[in-house]
Amino acid sequence: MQINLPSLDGTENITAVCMRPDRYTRLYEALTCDTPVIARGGGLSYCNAGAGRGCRTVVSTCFDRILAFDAEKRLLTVEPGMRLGDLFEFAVRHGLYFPVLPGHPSITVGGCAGFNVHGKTQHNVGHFIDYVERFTLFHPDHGEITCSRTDHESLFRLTIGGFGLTGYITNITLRLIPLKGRSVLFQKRFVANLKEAVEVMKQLSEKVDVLYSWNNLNKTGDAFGEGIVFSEQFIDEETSARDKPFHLFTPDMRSVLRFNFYYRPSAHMECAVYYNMERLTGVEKRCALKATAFPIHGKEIYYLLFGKQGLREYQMLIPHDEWAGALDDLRALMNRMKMPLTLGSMKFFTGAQDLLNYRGDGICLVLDVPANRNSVEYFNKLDEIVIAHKGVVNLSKDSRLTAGTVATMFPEYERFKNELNEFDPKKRFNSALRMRIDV
Amino acid sequence: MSDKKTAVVIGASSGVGRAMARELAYRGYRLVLVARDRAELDILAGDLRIRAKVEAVVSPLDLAAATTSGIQEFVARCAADHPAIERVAITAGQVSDDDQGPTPLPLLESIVKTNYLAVIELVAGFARHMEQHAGGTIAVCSSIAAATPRGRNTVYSSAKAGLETYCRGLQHHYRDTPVRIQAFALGYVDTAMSFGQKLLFPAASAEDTARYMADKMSTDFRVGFYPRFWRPIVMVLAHLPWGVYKRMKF
Repeated sequence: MQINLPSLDGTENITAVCMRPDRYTRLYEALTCDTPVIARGGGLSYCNAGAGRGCRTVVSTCFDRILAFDAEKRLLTVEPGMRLGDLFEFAVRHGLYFPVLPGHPSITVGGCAGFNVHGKTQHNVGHFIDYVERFTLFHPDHGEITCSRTDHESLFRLTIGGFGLTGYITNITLRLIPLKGRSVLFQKRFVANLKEAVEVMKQLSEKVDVLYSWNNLNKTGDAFGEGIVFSEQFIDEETSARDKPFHLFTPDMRSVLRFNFYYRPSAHMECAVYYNMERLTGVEKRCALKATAFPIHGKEIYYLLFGKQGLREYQMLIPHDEWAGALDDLRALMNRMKMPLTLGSMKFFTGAQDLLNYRGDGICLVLDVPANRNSVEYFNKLDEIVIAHKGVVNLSKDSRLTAGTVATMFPEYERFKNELNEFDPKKRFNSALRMRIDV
Repeated sequence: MSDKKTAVVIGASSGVGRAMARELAYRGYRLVLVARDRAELDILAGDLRIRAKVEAVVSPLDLAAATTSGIQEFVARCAADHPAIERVAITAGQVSDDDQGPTPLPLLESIVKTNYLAVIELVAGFARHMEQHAGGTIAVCSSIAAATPRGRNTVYSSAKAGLETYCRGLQHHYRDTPVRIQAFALGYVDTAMSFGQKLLFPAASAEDTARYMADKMSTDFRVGFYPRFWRPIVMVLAHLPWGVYKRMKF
């Protein structure tokens, strides 16, 4: 069946054959065919990693069952279509926690594996791969392969963060950690600019469990990046908040509004309203862990207001020693090209960059703009800044990066490409992302 | 066998049935999971044991292939193994793209068997068992198609209409007993049946549908639509003059 499969940012719409098998016999039939296939989870990646022209998309969301649970070893084996909200609730019920939680509970475990995602607090807990014990990968030419850090180690590293291009993960075993508390102490610190935000975050990074910022990048001069540093600490006390179920979010829901509401004045106003609302609501509160676990959940209206034309998100990771220089260049670009910046946010990262993973030691800055004719040019300029300051861009957030830019940014681009093509020379797994970045 | 309250879910391996099994498990029911695919049922049973810490047993049954005596034996076996059956949810069904106009005979038989004949045999069997014990609720899935027949899914819609009529008859028969028979006329639900289709209205999730049905199974609900916005739509469609109705493309 031909279905329109949009990326979450709404800039890549692909009509392709799409199947959603609900049992293993149909899954293996769907994966074994002459045309290239690609798995799709919740469809919440900003680029179209789960669809491609001439490819068959196999949606994994019916495979959402728990296959095994070892409470003593804290190991949970699940199917790839399990949504993070479901994983979160199961873990918390058992006094456990999965620390790498990206923005929305509708994201699937398989999607997290494909992009080796990070959560709100990468500098404390690492990436998704750090909590993967093993997984079983199905590839029509290789059959089922169980991969771990000891068995098929290179395929293990190629698959987690391999954009679903090595095969279909049929099950994955995750390592949970003990839950420190069922509530969090949520604190805000208001900062005058981006520089101060980084200073405050440096002071807090060792002391809190979760740390990120919101910054108004529309401000100029000394107020550039005025904003709020958010921190969270687990506390072991019950809150009286009502336990509402998580709701679903899909790319189709995101594009339900016809028109974009974000222009320069409205982006300024949106940021000012948000900042002042946060000022009015106090600097400290205790809330249920569930209420803060997924920052986008409940705030989907922000994405809807970009309308059908969609948004573009840029997520860059700049090494600490390059940050000051990069900040000057960013400020100059933002002064020169007056784009409506609807979101600015920072996190700290640690770890070594490898393959096409979005990881390394440094500062992660996220920004959103409406997808219009200037946004691609704007992002191309951002690419130049990132390359000049030895940074990398998150491929899961970007639907326009070219092969040349990716090859320049990522030192192990060729290694990734060679290993992938050695494992899957016939390109049985393919997607718009693979075609675009030419791996 | 444990005397813990038991729920039987027929059609448990996918869609609304799977969601129903999960919902009833979270509500503490001991589960008997029924579908034709044993391997899938085993995985689901394992999932429910881990998630909800309930007992879950599997009992493979292919409604399209089952004979009347086979269904009677199945009900008898279920009743013997699990006397405390309090809930039965029959979500199994069959639709086919080839069910158009005068549907070919083998397909016609299969659709009638899966959506009507086997289902009413199951309802009758479990209702008799419940009448002799402490009562209980039997829920079946009908469809909005039952009230708005059209050129596509002709056999399916007539089978569902027959099923609804049968349920209304049994409701009257069991009016003074603790046996409740319920028919849920489902609109678009996000299952394999509707996946990828261009729909006039949004599809409800299987999870929300199961939650609604499970809630209603504790009440005196008899026949109704889910999602509920379908009620006025079906009412209007059902009362359109033929001259207008025949021009409808849906």
